[in-house]
Amino acid sequence: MGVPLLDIRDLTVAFASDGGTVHAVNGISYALSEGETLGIVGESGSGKSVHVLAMLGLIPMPPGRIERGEVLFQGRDLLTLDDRALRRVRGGEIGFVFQDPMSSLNPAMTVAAQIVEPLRIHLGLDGAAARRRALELLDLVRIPDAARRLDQYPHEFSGGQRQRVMIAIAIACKPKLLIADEATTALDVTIQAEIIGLVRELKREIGMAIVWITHDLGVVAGIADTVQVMYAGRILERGPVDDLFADPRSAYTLGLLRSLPDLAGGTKGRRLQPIEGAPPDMRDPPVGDPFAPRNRYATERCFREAPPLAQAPGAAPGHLVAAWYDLRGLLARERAAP
Amino acid sequence: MTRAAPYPLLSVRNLSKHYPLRSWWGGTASVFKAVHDVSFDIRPNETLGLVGESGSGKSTIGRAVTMLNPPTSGTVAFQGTDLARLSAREMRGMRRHIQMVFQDPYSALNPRMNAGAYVMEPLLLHDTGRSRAELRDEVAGLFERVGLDPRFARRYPHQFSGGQRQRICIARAIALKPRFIVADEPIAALDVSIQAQVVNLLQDLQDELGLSYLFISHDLRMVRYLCHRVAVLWRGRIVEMADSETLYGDPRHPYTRRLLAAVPVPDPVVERQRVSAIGLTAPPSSETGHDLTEVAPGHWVAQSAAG
Repeated sequence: MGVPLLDIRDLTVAFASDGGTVHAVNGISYALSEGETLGIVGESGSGKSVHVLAMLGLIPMPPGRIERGEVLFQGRDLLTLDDRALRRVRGGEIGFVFQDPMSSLNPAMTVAAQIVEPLRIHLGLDGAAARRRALELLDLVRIPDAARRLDQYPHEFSGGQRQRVMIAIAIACKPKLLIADEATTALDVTIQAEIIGLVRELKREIGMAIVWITHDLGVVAGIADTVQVMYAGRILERGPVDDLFADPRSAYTLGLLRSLPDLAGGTKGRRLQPIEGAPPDMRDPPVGDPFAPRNRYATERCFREAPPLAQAPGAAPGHLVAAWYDLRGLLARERAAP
Repeated sequence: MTRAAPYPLLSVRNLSKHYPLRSWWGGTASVFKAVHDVSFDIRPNETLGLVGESGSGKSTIGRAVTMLNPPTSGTVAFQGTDLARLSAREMRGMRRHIQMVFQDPYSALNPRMNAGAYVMEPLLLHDTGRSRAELRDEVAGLFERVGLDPRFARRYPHQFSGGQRQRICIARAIALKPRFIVADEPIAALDVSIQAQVVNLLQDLQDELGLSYLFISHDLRMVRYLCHRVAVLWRGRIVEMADSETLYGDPRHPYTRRLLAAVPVPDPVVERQRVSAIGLTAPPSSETGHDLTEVAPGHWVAQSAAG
């Protein structure tokens, strides 16, 4: 195994607020290989978005503060780079797409100007070459009649097309890594399916690694090689996509899967099984396993001591879980009981 | 709770909502048909799901049937009474039977009013002549009914989580014991783990109070689970309507098929097989017929697609 493309070590991010310090990201570590697609699932307050904003230098400091950790991208710690160096990485080797394409695009600039900008800054292309490349990119993200659309403004594009333009900008410089944060959440379900299909094709054509952040387990199932489940600023579970969905080992992952109704109608007439309670207040996160107060399988130890993220016994290699309880054993006993 | 009703609880006929589009000199150039010629019934104790994508007219219908934004034409009859013919005073009386729950519980709540006062407000307006102590007891009962600690009545909106705020809005909506609630994307702003809590609550309240719902949602999984019947909206018109088993099991209109095919399933094996098929279902052309035809009992499909 060579050096991973991205290697995050013990990243810890906090925010100062009126009510005290918000512990948003609490010592997370994970690595991403070249060409790998990592799906990160979590709810609001899980730290899934904050940790990528922090590593790209996009959180305001203060009130934000990176307390500890390293973010090694191709062996270089992004957290030690100055603004200039970081700007060269952002939009160059790392492309990113956020939820709301309208607020990410400049309404007063044509689409051409916005795609050309990173090409000139990062690749040093001249005007004509950059424009040719911009046209190729709009074709690549399947915007029909690209030559004419190039000189239009963002408001002349539909929501789905604007997100395609954002993707074109993000991949303009052939990044090694694409980060998408709830990139399809604001879109209609048919447009979401098209964008996901597009990203899968682009991945095959360009070969970039992807970090795809979402709250939707269905989206993750369709796009990820590896899935990582985050809660209260920690990683509770991580593993190959098939193994994680078939054999979840964190009670939180299981709870998320069970709280979803089945599109095929299997849950009809049965009561949904929500996760009771609410996520913790991150100004005062619980000691121990942060999910313990909502977990009916929690043991006394869960409330005292935070479990480390470690290989789940009997699961596929690389399927990790942070839990003191043995979910597989507990479920087997439940099934055996009358 | 179900009584034999001589007519549906809510009967909507040929409802349209058109907005004039003004040209630059101020004249009426054309009209935008947000909703056009929509008809459906909701029976007592029934949940009708209204699905469709942004701009399909879902919320417009919800606001039209509650007369928050009355329709341009067509009738909305509640228990046989045409709502458009009521005087303002009569409509206020009718409001106790018809309530709404919205997507964003935070903007629905008044930040300066504590939760108890917010839930009590409709009782003060409609049930005049009752003592404060009686009303406070009633509010405590409503808090318990929606799964909130009655002691939370003194707290303000910012002290609640999103799911709790939606429970407060639901408590207010049921305070006057309505017969019908329009729920417009009531779970869309909530975290996944909280959505099921709120949906279970809506179902419990339906059983206890005999409520009918118009459940407006883009979450096709939850609509199948919760709704007895489903209407699919496309560009302001209903293109297909059936009981939910039929609609999901045997969708006939190309738009319904496209919509259902696009829903991501939390199963990587299914997703891998399915993803390649998405691009193949082309969007339906705008030439599709508009008149609904009953292709099977209770299963209505826009005409030319059915033929």
